[in-house]
Amino acid sequence: MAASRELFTSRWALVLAALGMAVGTGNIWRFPRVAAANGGGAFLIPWVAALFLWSIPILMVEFALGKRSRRGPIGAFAVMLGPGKAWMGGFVGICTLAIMFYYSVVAGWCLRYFFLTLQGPLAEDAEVVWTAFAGSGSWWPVLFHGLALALGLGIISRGVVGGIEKANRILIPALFVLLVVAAARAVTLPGAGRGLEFLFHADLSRLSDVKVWLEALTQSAWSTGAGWGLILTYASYMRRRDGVALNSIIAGLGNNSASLLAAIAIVPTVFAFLPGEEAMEVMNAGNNGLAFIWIPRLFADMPGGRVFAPVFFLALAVAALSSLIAMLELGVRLLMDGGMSRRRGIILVGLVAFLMGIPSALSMAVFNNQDWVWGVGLLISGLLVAVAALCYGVDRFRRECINDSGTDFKVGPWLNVVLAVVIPLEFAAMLSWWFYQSITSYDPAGWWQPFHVFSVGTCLAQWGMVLALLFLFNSRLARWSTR
Amino acid sequence: MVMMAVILTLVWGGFAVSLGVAMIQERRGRRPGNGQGDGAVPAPVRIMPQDHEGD
Repeated sequence: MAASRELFTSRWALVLAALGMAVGTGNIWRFPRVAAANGGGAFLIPWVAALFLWSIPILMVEFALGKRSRRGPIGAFAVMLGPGKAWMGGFVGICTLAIMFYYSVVAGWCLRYFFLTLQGPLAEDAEVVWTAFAGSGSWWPVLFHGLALALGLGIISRGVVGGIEKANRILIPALFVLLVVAAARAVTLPGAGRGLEFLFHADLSRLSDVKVWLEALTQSAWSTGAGWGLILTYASYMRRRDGVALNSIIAGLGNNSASLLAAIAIVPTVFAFLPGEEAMEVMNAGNNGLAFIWIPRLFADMPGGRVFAPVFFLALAVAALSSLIAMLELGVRLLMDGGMSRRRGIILVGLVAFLMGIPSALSMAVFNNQDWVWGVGLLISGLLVAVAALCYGVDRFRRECINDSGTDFKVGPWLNVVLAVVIPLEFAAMLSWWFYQSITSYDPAGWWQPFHVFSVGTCLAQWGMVLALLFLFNSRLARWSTR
Repeated sequence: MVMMAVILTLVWGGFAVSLGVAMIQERRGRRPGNGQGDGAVPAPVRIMPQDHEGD
């Protein structure tokens, strides 16, 4: 069954798919404001370090697991580590599917705003439009959530070569062109220099602030797609002659390049139109506030904004769609590993994703809760991927699976240290940091409550339920995913 | 602006160089030991028949 499967036709097809997976809305709406809020230039130093000390090593392990096992996350863990470890792949897969349920809602928002800004500037109405649209109980977000899913499922229904490969050949170059256009416009605005200065000014004293390091590490962990199981899924379609190490580096650096382009498009735009303090307020307005309220307002004031607003939202929609495709493919791959046909898998994944996304489309509280629980859950997924290499034997994994016959260059023993020591320490620091924030800032009075939006309790309850089910059905999962 | 130059060189330059290296590798053709067919699937590594028992 697995030997006759489709493979990406070239290295470039794989690289574009990997970039499509990695570059998402987080690069465009989260990175610029997190960078701005954490010292600009000083933030960029730990952010680049985190790329090499968390994201790229985990991407390497994912590439190797997928390439070697030719299966989705559950099957890959079961085949490579033994059936007793299927639950680990199960957690990685479920975490990403849970994110997919609300991520398609986000993709729907982006599509809706692309169409809205095509009709004309939103200007002062932006806040009214946003609050009437998202999470207000309006059925419009449900409709666009369905539209985003239909687009993504339509693409993957054409298979790996005719669907995923062909779509990413168009979407990713288009995304980079759109970001370059937006960045070029931003830096030519009068006053844009203040934004660039703010973004790249390195106040090195900020490097002594642990928060800056943790925010940078988290941004890199979330943004590159490391630990999501998505690269693992795509790698199950890579040619044996294609290497693991260089492709991981291309994916990581390409993701960060897109983030920098987005920051150069957004931060100077905000600073060109608003005085310093107000600009900082905007940068701290949260992902949705920045993208769907402030950006439409700023574009309305900008010469040529009538054209550049749809360009921005098209870039956002393309970034969201290319990542959504990868998430949908992960779901379908899991079912295909169990013997289901692609067609049936697509119908089942589409149905479940649509139904499970409806609560997030209708309620911002549900959306925020899911984003919190599974966003932090991704850190566990990242750790589990690193643990997979440890279970296999970290040095053996590096020699046999990463430095395999197709490799472009040999990765040295430094990777063993990063996987065995650095990543577990980073995980412990990040998880402690986010729980500390919940206990001291987000929800000090009810941090232990399982039904609160941003509580530690809700994370432990939801992860606990998933892990309990995975442990209970581990043997069946292992058998089913390795048929 | 020094930081801007450093970061952009590191990230964008690194991205461009890694793409360039990949392109050169592709043009050079197969690297040593690349005789396997693309679709060949390595044997499952640690799965044993008895692992399927005792669910």
